[in-house]
Amino acid sequence: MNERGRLVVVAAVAALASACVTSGQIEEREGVLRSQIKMVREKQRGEECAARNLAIAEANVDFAAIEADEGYGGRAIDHLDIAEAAARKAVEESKPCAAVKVVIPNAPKVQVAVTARDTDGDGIPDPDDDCPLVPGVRQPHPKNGCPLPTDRDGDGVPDDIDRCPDVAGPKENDGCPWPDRDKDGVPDREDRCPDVPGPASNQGCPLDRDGDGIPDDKDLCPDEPGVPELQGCPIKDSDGDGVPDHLDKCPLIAGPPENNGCPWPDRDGDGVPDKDDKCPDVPGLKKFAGCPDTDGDGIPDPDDDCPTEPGPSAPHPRNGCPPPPPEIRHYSLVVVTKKQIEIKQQVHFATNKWEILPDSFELLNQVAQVMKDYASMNIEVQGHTDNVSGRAHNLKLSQHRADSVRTYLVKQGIDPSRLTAKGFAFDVPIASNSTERGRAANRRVEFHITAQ
Amino acid sequence: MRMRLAAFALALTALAGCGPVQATATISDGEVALEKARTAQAQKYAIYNYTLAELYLHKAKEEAGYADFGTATDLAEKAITNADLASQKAARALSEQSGGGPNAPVAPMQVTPK
Repeated sequence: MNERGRLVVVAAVAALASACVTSGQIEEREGVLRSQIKMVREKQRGEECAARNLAIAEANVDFAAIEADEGYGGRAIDHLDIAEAAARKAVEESKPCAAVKVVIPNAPKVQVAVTARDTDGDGIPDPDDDCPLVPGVRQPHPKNGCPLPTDRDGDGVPDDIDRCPDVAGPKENDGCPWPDRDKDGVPDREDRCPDVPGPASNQGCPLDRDGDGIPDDKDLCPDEPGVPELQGCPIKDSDGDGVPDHLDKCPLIAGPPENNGCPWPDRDGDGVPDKDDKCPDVPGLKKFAGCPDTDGDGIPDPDDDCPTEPGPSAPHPRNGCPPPPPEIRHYSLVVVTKKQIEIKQQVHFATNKWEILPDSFELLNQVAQVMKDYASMNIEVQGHTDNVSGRAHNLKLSQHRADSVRTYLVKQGIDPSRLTAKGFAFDVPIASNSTERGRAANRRVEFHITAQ
Repeated sequence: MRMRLAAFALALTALAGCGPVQATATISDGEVALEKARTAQAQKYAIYNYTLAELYLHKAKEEAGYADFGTATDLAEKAITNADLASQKAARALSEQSGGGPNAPVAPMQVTPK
């Protein structure tokens, strides 16, 4: 056997010796522990007072023995360590389980100390303890010595049956508060508006969100201020005609209230509604109540006996008709032209005077008749002379002669307002003044029409 | 000859399978017994036996893990015994606490002169 072989043998022998020593130690510790456990269980009521640690100690001693039998010394020692620690705790825990002395006060002479078991160690002897195995407090039978059910949240539901032991809640909900999503203090199951805070008096709904005085539960438009007539909705007038939409039969077309907000019909489209239109089917003028004035004579067609011919106002049947044509007269001495009444003779005056000679009366009478026939005709009587003598003289003479003719016509019944008179002297000759014939032509009177 | 060999191999296999099967079944029974004890509130009213049952069952599983099926079976049986005891004790304790009242059995009283 070489050196190396010897070393291996020595190591193996040492290991075996060590194992034997360890095995002996294990058995010794096991024996001590078993005695300790027996003492705790039997003398100190360990099963009641130190149940868990006693069990741990016992079991681990068993396990140590098993491991040791199987040759696992390390595992056996581990179990023994655990068993020892548990056994120490068991001894400590079972110490208070000593007998309790009870003094009987009604026996002063013969004092008897009664020791009774108090299995659960709550200070209440087992005979008086309704829960002898569970620590509890003094309270009337049948709960004396039993633990008080706690009620941390003070809701009257004991914690042991309280699903929410830290939050107060009714018994019906197992001690939990009813859900209240909007946190308004009204439980959702009683809250008609569970997502909007509201007072309990309104079943959890806000009283009046839009502040229009109509409670939200009766407000069709709870977020818009409105009026009671519209169940809390606002008044609208889309067409701006002053008739609110809810009363407006034509809410988008302006119309008077008398027609429920609809426009009056206007068949002829003349802007005058049919109800006011005397001619509802013919476009007309407002000033004529919707009727036309075709001839523009200021008399509406319905009243105009001659609607297509302008004419002055007159009694029926000539209202609005043109004046009747003058009686066809044959003026022998005059001719009515557009601008004047032309005379076929000269008006004769006394020489160098303005007195009208009688032979001119018939002529002037015919001029007066023309003016009567044409009632709207106005005339300017013009006096003209030749250039004999000075201008001033002739101007005076011509003016006097024109005035004289005017006066004659007025005397014939012509309204003076229709007549003017003006002298022109020799300023407007119609012939040469260098001949007698020409001068005779220049000495004249003319009747100029100033208004027809 | 060949037939005999086959029968022998089969018997060996069956025997080898007995250990683990029995251990597993017993451990399973132990778990059931422990669950019953837990339901009976044995953790509260029969702490000693309940703790023993727990520890034995745990060790049984550990031994089964080391393929020591015999020891595992023994430990599991101990676990079952303790679990059953724990259930009984807990049931009794609960009965005393709720309906037992004055008629419930009380611990013996020792009276000694002062």
